[in-house]
Parts: sequence; C-alpha cells; structure tokens
Amino acid sequence: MKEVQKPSIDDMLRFCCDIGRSLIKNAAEINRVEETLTLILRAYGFQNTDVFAIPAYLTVDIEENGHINSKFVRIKHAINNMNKLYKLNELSHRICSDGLELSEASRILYDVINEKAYPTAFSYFIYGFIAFFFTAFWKGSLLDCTVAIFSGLMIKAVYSFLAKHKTNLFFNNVCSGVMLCLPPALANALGLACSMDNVIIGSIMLLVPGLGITNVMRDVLSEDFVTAVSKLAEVLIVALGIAIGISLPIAALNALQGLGGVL
Amino acid sequence: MTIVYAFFASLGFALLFEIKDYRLVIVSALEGAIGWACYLALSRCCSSYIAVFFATITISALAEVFARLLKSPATLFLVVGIIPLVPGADIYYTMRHLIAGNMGAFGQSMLKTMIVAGAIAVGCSIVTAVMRIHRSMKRMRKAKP
Repeated sequence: MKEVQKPSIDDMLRFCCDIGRSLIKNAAEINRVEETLTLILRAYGFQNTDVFAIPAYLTVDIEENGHINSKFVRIKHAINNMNKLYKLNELSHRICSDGLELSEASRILYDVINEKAYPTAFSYFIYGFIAFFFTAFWKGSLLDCTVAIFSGLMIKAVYSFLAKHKTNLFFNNVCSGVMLCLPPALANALGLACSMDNVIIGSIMLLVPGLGITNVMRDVLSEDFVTAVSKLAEVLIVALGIAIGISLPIAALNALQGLGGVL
Repeated sequence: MTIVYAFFASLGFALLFEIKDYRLVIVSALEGAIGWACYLALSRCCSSYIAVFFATITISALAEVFARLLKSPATLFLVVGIIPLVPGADIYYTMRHLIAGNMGAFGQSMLKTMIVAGAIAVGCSIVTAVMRIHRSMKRMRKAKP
C-alpha cells in the first residue's frame, strides 16, 4: 500500500459525508456504510473517529490533537442506483487497499455522483418490459401481457410526474395503484377479454418494495434497530398505499356492476 | 417456461436498478431464474413457505459467491434475485378478498403474504449472518500472527 498524504480535516469530513450519503441513497446496508467510512478514515491516518448512520442521517466525527470536529448530513430520497453502489464500493476498496490521494478520490467520487442514469425513454421501456414479463410469469395470456405494458408505462408516468412535484411516498403509491388499473379497465370497456387480475398482479411488482423487505432483516441482524424500524415503516406504508390505490378502482367497478362488498 | 419469464422479469429489474455492466445484468437476472427454479423444484416436495425459504438461501449464497467472483457488492445480485419470489400476487389477492368482503379469505391470504415475506427475510439474513462469522474469523486469523 502506497503512503498517502494526510488531508485536512475539513476535506476529510466533506469527502466522508458525501460518499456516505451516496452509499445510503443507493441502498447500501447501514452497518456496511459505517464500517466503510471508518476504514476510509483509517486509511487516511485518522484513528480516533466515530461514524453513525441511519437512512435519513449521517454524522462523522474526528478527534485530532484534542480538537473535536464533526459534520452531519441529512439524507432524503433514496434513488437505488446499483451502478453507483458498485462503483462506490470499488472506490472504497481502492482507497483502503491501494492508497489513493484524497484529491484523486474526490474526483472519482464526484464523477460517480454526477453520472447520468439511463435516459428517460429507456426507463419507460424498462417499466413496460417488466410489466409484460411479470404478467407472463403469473400465467397471463398474450393480451394480458400487452395491456400490462400500458399499465407499466402508466406507473412510470405517474411516478415521475409526482416525483417532480415532491409529493410523499404514500400518496405516490396510492396514485400509481389507481392509475395502473386504468389500462385493463379500459381494455375491458372496449370489449377485449383481458383479465384484470393478471394485469394488476403483473404490474404491481413494479411497486412492491422487495428491496425493503430483504434489507429490514439484515439491519436487525446487525443490530441497527432504528434503521430496521424506519425501513419496516417504509415497507408497510408503501404496501398500504398500493393496496388502497388498487382497491379504489376495483371497488368502483364492482359498484358499477352492482356487486357488493365492504367498500 | 415460467423460469424463462422469471429470467426476463429479473433482467428488467436489473436495468431498473440501473446496473450498467452487462456481466452484472446477466448474472443477476440468472439469479432470479435460478431462485425461481429452486422454488419450483422444492414446492413439489414441501410447503411453499419452506420452498421460498430455501430458494432465498440459495440465492443469497450464490450472491455471495458471485460478489467475490465479479468483485461487486452482494446486495446487487440479492436484490434482483429475490424479485420473482416476492409475494406480489398474494398482496393483490389479500386486497381483492377485502374488497369482496370475504374476511376469512382475507385473513388467510394476508397471513400467507406475511409468512412468505418473513421467509425471504429470514432466508437472506441467515446467509448474511454466516458470512459475518466467516469474515470475523478471517480477520482474527489475520490479526494473530
């Protein structure tokens, strides 16, 4: 390992907070984030440090020559970009095992942070693609799958519109739930015999928080209970939002057709 | 045939999570297909909860292996791999029964959803725990001499 110059504390704190924030936003495990930051700080020669993170908050503390320095960042809006997670992981490995000057590391970090996501048109395509194959996966007919493409596009359109106006997670999921029922209902109204159940099941997968479910238990295992509880709350709120969103149009359709029910 | 669909659905999710390296995309989509194949094979001989549980263990273990082979975080494969096992259909039927006012079936499918979600969570946490023990043992061995 190459000897690296010890950076100033301000630069170090800024770098740690930025890489930590980026890791948390992109679905890294919380205890891995804390561990990584501690290792990075050690690689730059800071021994007396403390790091604390929860999904919404990160603080880094360095004690050096009797002075206490700390910085915190507030973290909002997970983006779940696995490509960035992959590259940040690579960067932290390089820092810890090869030794990398902080200026060079920062340059790489900001390149990764500013990296462009897939173009919008392509992400619309992906939403349609996933809805199509999931409907096929749950044994939908070809017609169901085709209608599901439109449901997928609908979800993406609603989601990106609402994200632009910064509405909350619960409302986003309710709206997407309502809107994804529109294409199959419309197809039925036009006289196409598509199964509403199959289309909804296929496109609902785009909203279901599979990522959250897996992460909650892993956080419990690493004894980050605050993180686990806050993620569990997120999962439940999303699930509730989807359920309410979908139930509204179905209940309305049932009422139109004269079928009863509790709603 | 559903295994092929599971592959493509997972492939879509790999792209949705913005994985860009094509090797990682293919491998994580394969994870999804393998997980679903495991589930299908196991659900012939035991209950679907047990099948989900062991399929998740397989996926997580493979994710750790691939993470080492391709030098990338295991989360990446795990997240995509479990997607076909996530009980999306059960969530929907739970809702459906509630709307129909069919409370018995509602309770049943809600419990089913929760058990499947729990099985997934416990499955991958077991592998994470084993990996943690492995890592800590390695660190101790390194520190000793």
